[in-house]
Amino acid sequence: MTVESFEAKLAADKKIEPNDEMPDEYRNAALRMMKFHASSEIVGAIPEAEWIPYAPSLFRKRVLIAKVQDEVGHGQILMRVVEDLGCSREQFIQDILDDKAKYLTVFDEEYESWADIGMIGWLGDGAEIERQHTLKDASYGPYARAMHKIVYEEAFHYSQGRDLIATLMQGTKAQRDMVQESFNKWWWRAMVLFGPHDSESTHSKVLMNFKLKIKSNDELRNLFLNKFVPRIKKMGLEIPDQTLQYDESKGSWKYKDPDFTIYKNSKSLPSHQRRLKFLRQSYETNGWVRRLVELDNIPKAL
Amino acid sequence: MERTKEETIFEVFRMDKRGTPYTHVGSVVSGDPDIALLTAQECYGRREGCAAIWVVRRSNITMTTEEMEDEFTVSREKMYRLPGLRKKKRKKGDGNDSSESTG
Ligand SMILES: [Fe+2]
Ligand SMILES: [Fe+2]
Repeated sequence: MTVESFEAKLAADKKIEPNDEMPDEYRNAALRMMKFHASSEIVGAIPEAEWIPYAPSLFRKRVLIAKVQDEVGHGQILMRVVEDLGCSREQFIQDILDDKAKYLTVFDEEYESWADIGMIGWLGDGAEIERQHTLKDASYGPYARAMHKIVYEEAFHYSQGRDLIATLMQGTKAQRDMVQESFNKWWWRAMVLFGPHDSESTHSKVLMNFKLKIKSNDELRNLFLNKFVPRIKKMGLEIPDQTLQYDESKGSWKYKDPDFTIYKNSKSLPSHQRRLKFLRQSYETNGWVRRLVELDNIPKAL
Repeated sequence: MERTKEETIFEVFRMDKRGTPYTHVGSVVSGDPDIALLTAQECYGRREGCAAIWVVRRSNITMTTEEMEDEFTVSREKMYRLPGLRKKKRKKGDGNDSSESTG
């Protein structure tokens, strides 16, 4: 298939399926983006799993366990998408264990309080819903279909986070202070989550040309602000950006740029090192399960 | 028994409600069908709820190729498959069916 006929196919809004011919550029771009997403789901479950023993009630504990199971399930679903694009499961997992995998770096941070657990759901998953909702229109069929299922479940994550935060906000002053303190970090984390400005985003253009990415980083950040600024105010929280303002004439938000380099040392964080050690250990100790389901018996050459 | 990698992939089909068609929803990896079904239940049956799930080894599926897609589109040249529908079609303005417009 020529590049022109592939582009014509994309232009006609035809989805690409795993058995279709596709140019290497498309396959590689899809693989990079989807590996990033799959790794984020799996690595992102760990900091929340760490908090399960500290949930303040049995109800909250069950909610959090269900969420963590959802995230690992999202990882399972997306790992299959990645495998069909040509990256083996062994390689995918090895990359995580070797600390080479790329994912949302916020998951390397320490989650310091119970309010952080609420914030990751309310703001973090809430922000991800904005992005993933647009990706239901992505050109790679299996990924677009996965987004329908995943976004459906992310909605639960958003609402459990909102409920957790709203409950704390109705509590004592110490609890409200804990939420505000957590929010002051998560505001910037949510703003960074959408990636650098469009003018500086290296992969965005290629991904958008291939219709693998539907809206740009800045467009998504703006959509997030449209939705969340009123929600945050209603929650009674103060946004740590005095310059934030809606520009009627442009129909977009003016805001203070987050520090896009906040995560540049994330690999050396003790929280990251601790989780990496946990992942390596559990891969080792759970090896018998893989052998039992025969996944380790697959000849390496294949 | 050694299996090829392709043979460890199971496609998952789900019936949302009794009486509705099974829909392909994704795939799982497993050494055997029982564990494939269990994984499929956890991944695809847990949150949304459903009436039933099938898992089918991918290597057991026989499928058409991308090139064959054109053969399945309803063609103006095969108007004999749509008797009595000619007038309606013509109204839409794509009446390239002169060979059939004798009636
Ligand atoms: Fe998720
Ligand atoms: Fe989530």
